[in-house]
Amino acid sequence: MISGAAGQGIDTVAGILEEGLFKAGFHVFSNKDYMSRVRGGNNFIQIRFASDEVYSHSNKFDYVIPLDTVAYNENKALLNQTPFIMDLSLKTEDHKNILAENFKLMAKEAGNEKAITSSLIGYLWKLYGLDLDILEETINRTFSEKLAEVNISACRKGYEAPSVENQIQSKGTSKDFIFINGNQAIAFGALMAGCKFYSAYPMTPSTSVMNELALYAEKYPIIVEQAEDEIAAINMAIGSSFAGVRSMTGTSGGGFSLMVEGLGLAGISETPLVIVDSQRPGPATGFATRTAQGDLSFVLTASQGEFPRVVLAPKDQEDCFSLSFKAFDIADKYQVPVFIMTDQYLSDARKTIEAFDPDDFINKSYLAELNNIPDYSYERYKLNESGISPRIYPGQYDNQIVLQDSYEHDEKGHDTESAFFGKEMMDKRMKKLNGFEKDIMEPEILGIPYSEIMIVSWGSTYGSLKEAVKKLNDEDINIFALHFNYIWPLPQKHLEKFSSRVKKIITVEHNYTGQLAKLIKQETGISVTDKITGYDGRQMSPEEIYTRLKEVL
Amino acid sequence: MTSVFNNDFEIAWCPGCGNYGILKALKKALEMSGKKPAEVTIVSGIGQAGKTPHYINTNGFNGLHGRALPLASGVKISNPEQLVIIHGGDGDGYGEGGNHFIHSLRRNLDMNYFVHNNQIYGLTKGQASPTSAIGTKSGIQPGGTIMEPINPLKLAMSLDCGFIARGFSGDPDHLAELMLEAFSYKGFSYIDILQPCVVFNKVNTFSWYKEKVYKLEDSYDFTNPEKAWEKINEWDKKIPLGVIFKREKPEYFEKASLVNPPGVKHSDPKIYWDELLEMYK
Repeated sequence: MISGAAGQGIDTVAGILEEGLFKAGFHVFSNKDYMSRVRGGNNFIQIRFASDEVYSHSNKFDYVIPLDTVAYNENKALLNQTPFIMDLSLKTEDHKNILAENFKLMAKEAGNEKAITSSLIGYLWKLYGLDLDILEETINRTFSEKLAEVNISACRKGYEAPSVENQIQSKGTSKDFIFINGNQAIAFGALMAGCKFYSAYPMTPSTSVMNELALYAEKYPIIVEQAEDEIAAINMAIGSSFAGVRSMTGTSGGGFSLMVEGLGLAGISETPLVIVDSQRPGPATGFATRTAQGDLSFVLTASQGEFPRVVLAPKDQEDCFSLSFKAFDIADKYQVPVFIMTDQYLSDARKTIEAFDPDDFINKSYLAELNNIPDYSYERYKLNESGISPRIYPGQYDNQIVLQDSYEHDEKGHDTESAFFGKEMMDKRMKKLNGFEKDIMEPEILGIPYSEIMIVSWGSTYGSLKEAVKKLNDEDINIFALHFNYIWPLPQKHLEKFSSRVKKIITVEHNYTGQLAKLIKQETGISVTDKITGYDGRQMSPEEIYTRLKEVL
Repeated sequence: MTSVFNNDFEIAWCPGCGNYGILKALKKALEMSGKKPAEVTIVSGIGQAGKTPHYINTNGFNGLHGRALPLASGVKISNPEQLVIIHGGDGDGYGEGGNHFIHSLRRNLDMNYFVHNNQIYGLTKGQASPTSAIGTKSGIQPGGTIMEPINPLKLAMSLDCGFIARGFSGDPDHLAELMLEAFSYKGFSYIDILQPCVVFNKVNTFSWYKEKVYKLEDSYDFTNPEKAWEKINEWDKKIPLGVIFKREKPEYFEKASLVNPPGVKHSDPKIYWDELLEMYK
């Protein structure tokens, strides 16, 4: 763990360390914990690496690197079990676990005191017995030429300092792996799905989706528009989708509150749309830079009236890519709004995953082809058996027009107050998802199925939960989890199949009331017996879930 | 008049409503432009003006109250071949959607924003609007509104709008000419259209306007901002009609200078797959 104040370069140094470890062939997982400020405070980044897949962060550390006194004091409780690597100037007591060197001097001799972080990671690199060339290459890539020189020199001085070292065997190659955070994976999946327009208003922790797509826009066919507010953002995305391109908007709960009327517009006008909600604790401004799963009930029912929607919640970085890709397919196929619900933890956490294989992802167009119909006879809301009317965009045919409406409308798209269309159009919209069963994914089973204790969970808790369940299984405690990434419409087959045989059902969620548990109860009548909920803005670690599960078993 | 832009959908405006003149002007301007119905998209919000897309044979999207501009912006950005026209009212555009007006001017997409300004809320039956004069009485403001009215042209002028005009629903031929000029202007063009509400606005009636409006002379220099400010401030005695201010400025796509513009044609972006993967290795 590296801990320090905002503005001390903690992101940069952690980035170098993570990428260096990734390049050295390790599976890396990094978790970002930061405050809503530009300078000062206490932020930390936890980096976990191993030869095999790493699913989550952990609260056990090999080393802690405090960058200032605040960071040292914040983490002091760990000192008895964990060595601290730190500058001499921070040392106020003698403790066997304090590994203090004059890192500041090393950086100064290298040319700049600010390069102290490079000396620190050089030292750490040596303790792990890793190849210095890899770290130097990473530093080289991170900085401009002159800064790279100073930092490499500072890093070498750090590397030469320790007399002892651990011996860690690198896995050797990581060439088929990538190292990516959740929001980057969502952006990547969106571009590959043919998303050509993204409009949003900056809001932590969703902003990095926009940053990533803006980076793509420098080279690839996508336009990113920073809207004046979230209301404009969602309306732009709807307009763009109506005009013929796949579109997405993204925000966090507060911004989504402003988008709600737009969501209803997408619903009644049957405009395909993908919405990313990267959750943080609410209500109102809440915890700006922390994590939560508190928006589920809200997203499921947001907007006046009724219309079909789909809610997906990726379980990890790989799933962020897959479900982002899939979201566009579903939105287009069924002409409905589709949500990707992530959270600050998954948005920011970087993980080593296998590179996505293009053969697993098929990009399909659902735009209609019309056969010589009379001029101006196309009907955007044609009533038919599936409820899904053939969709074209303005200008697709030079003898047809397309009319969409936020009012209840007739088949052509004109306002109507007729009771007939009031009923028929509602029936049409509501039956669009009847065929969705073919696309639905049942929850993944973690642990030993048909055990007497079942956990239900969703989204980003996957990694920690997977480790906790494995640990319990290793101790011969029979337990399993149904982990949902398709949330709505709720997949029910596994629930029905497994719930009748279990004695206990425990929900594990990052909210107060157990919103998934409430949804399951509402849809199936199945009640959970215990709740493990977290609502302090911090992601539960495998150790915490393990301990709390043991308490209720 | 037979026109490819006519449709047979029943019009729900009151008899004598100023909107008929605006619709007539719009159809005439589109005829003159040579555009086909499939090449035009009319976007609106909610209000009497918001019904416009239903009464004309073009592409259309009747969206949310106040949100026509961002909805239209999405259309124009993603399908730039379309001639995009936004119709809204004073409540829709200057009240509910005021923020979008400001930022649409900054964005400067090549779109045409036509505001049916009758200085009153029609659809909700007669409340004061952002352009109602002080003292306008209504069920909600029985003693008369105490809010100062917006002069929307001042707002547009102060935000450097490149095309500002004022039209009158009582002179559809002149209005059609203004609309045609707006279509050919490259950037965000804005026409505030004075329009009597025959039911709820008993002050700013057809004859009230008829007495005050005059067409700007041919000698008027619409490129001169000082003259434009003078004309924009005329209201109490005389109200000028015509292009009040016009100047060239870079529109959205010129500013954005996209390396790889997307377009509406479906394409499979998988050709970029490996290149993107490299970013994360």
